[in-house]
Amino acid sequence: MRWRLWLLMAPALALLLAVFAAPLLHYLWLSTQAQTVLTGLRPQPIGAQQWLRLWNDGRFWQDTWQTLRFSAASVSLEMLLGLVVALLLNQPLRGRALLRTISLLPWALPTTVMALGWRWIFNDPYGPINRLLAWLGLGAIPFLSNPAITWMAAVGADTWKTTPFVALLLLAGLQTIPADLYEAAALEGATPWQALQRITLPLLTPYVLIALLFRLAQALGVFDLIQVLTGGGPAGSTESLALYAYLNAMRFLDFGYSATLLLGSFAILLLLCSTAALAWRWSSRLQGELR
Amino acid sequence: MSGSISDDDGFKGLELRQLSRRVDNHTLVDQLSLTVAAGEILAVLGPSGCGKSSTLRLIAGLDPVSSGDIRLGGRSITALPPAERQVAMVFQSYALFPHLSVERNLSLGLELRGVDKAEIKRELDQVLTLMQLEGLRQRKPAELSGGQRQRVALARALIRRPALFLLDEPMSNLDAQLRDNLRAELRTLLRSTGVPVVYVTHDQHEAMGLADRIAVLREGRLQQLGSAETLYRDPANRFVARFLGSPSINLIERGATQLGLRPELLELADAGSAVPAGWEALEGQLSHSEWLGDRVITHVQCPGQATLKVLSREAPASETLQVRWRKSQALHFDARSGERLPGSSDPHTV
Repeated sequence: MRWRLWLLMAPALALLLAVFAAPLLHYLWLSTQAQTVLTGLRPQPIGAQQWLRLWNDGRFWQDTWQTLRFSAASVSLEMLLGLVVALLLNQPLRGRALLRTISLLPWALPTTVMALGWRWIFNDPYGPINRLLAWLGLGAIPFLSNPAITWMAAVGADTWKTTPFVALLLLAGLQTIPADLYEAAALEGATPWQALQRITLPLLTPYVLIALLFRLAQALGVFDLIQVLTGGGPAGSTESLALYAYLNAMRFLDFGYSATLLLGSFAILLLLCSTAALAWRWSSRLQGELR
Repeated sequence: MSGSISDDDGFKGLELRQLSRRVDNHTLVDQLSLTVAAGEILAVLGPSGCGKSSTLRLIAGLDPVSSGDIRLGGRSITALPPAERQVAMVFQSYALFPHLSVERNLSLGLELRGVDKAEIKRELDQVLTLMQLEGLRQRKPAELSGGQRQRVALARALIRRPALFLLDEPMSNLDAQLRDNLRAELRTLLRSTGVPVVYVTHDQHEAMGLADRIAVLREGRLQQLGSAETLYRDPANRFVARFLGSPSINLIERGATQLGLRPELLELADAGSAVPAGWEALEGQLSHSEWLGDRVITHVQCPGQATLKVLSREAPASETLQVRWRKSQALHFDARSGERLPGSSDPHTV
């Protein structure tokens, strides 16, 4: 009987092996090989040397910090704004369907296109923001050339694009909360603010955590936005782990180290996402099923 | 706000004055006026869409009133938000908070009103004991049976010591047996609160078994308000006559008039029997009979009439039957409007 179970699962397992396990194992192997221009792009075994290099690579740790900073800032902003937008869109407003559609547009836009748009918006001195500032007689803001500001510009662009995604997920969550719970709460004497705290937020927690999980995974792997908006600059101050791994493979032609970098950032991502996933399971168990 | 001394009319119960709710061009509640005394249970009865739940929502303050006044304890509460009306409501779905334990479901309202912890604990213990929920304190609503959820919903309403109790079909999610068992219990419990109770239902048995008086609604308008007995024996119109009673009342076509005859007031005889003085009769064919254990419902097909239902102790002996009744026991309705016509006395007093 047991072999039949495996037989039935075989197609799914084969697919997972092919697209997930095989590349991962290949990268594990590659991380123990030197495969650069110097080796004629042929793999040569060098053991754990590249892992040691990773451990001592200041740029890796700087990029880790920058990626975490970007992820933490953009994901928290998106969660907060997404919640506000979802709450607004959940109100019985006239033309709500149209508003929902419009609010989704930034998310539907290809990242490269929107990043190009934001690069123009942030342009110094010709972008619309700086032109407006100049017209008001204020100084220009060096959005893309000041390391202290540029990472925030990237966060701003990412927030603009991805808030709708969070809002959509949370809106779906809000709509699972029966209206009579709010009526019961109102009769119990709850103000709208208390109802938000006591009813909405606890019941929305699983959805918040799902959105958090999705967004964290995406933000920690951020590549295209940074590549197009800043190219990792100025002075590498916005470079993400994914971008660094990409540069190693595609620009420095150091495939072995690129694999090591990818696995290193994969480990960080896995750690953070599994924490979020555990939190999600914990909270959904805490809450039981919805009626 | 409302409720100045001069506004107080001294009536301690609930009073609806010309209460209406219109949405767009649709009238959900139409000029509804009634009173419910303190300690009285009023059932609001009607088919779905008759405005009974809308009425309840108006009283609770969940929907805005289009016109009219709601008065409780002698003062107008029409303009007050739900939280300030001192109204407790049991929802059809129970509307228990799924993420909170039984205990926290009950205490939330008190917490929000700033009642102190010791007081909350005292009230909780008392109500949990009364409703036999002590063992379920820490359970979540999803871990309770239907009957237990209903008790929690009732307990949540009781613990607030409301000035008015509203119940929206609280039994409709329970199975029939449990419903029958709970009716008397619920009646005693609701009576003990000493406040007006408005109980919305579409189930006539529930209304008759629970309530002191019944208000029958149709399309948002009050059809009749009275005791179950009055409504049954002396209905104001055909709608009320048909809505109460099971099996439902027989309507016999007689030109512009319809005769209303309760199945238990019809008698069966062999076809061709002599009709006694003061009686009337129709003859027809036995269609089928339903055996109920203590009674039999006999369906008789008379020419030109809907099938007549006769409730009797014995099953009919033959296939062709005479159905007869005392003339004085027939209710007369206008065939077109359904209004009750004079000339029909109380059918049970001969």
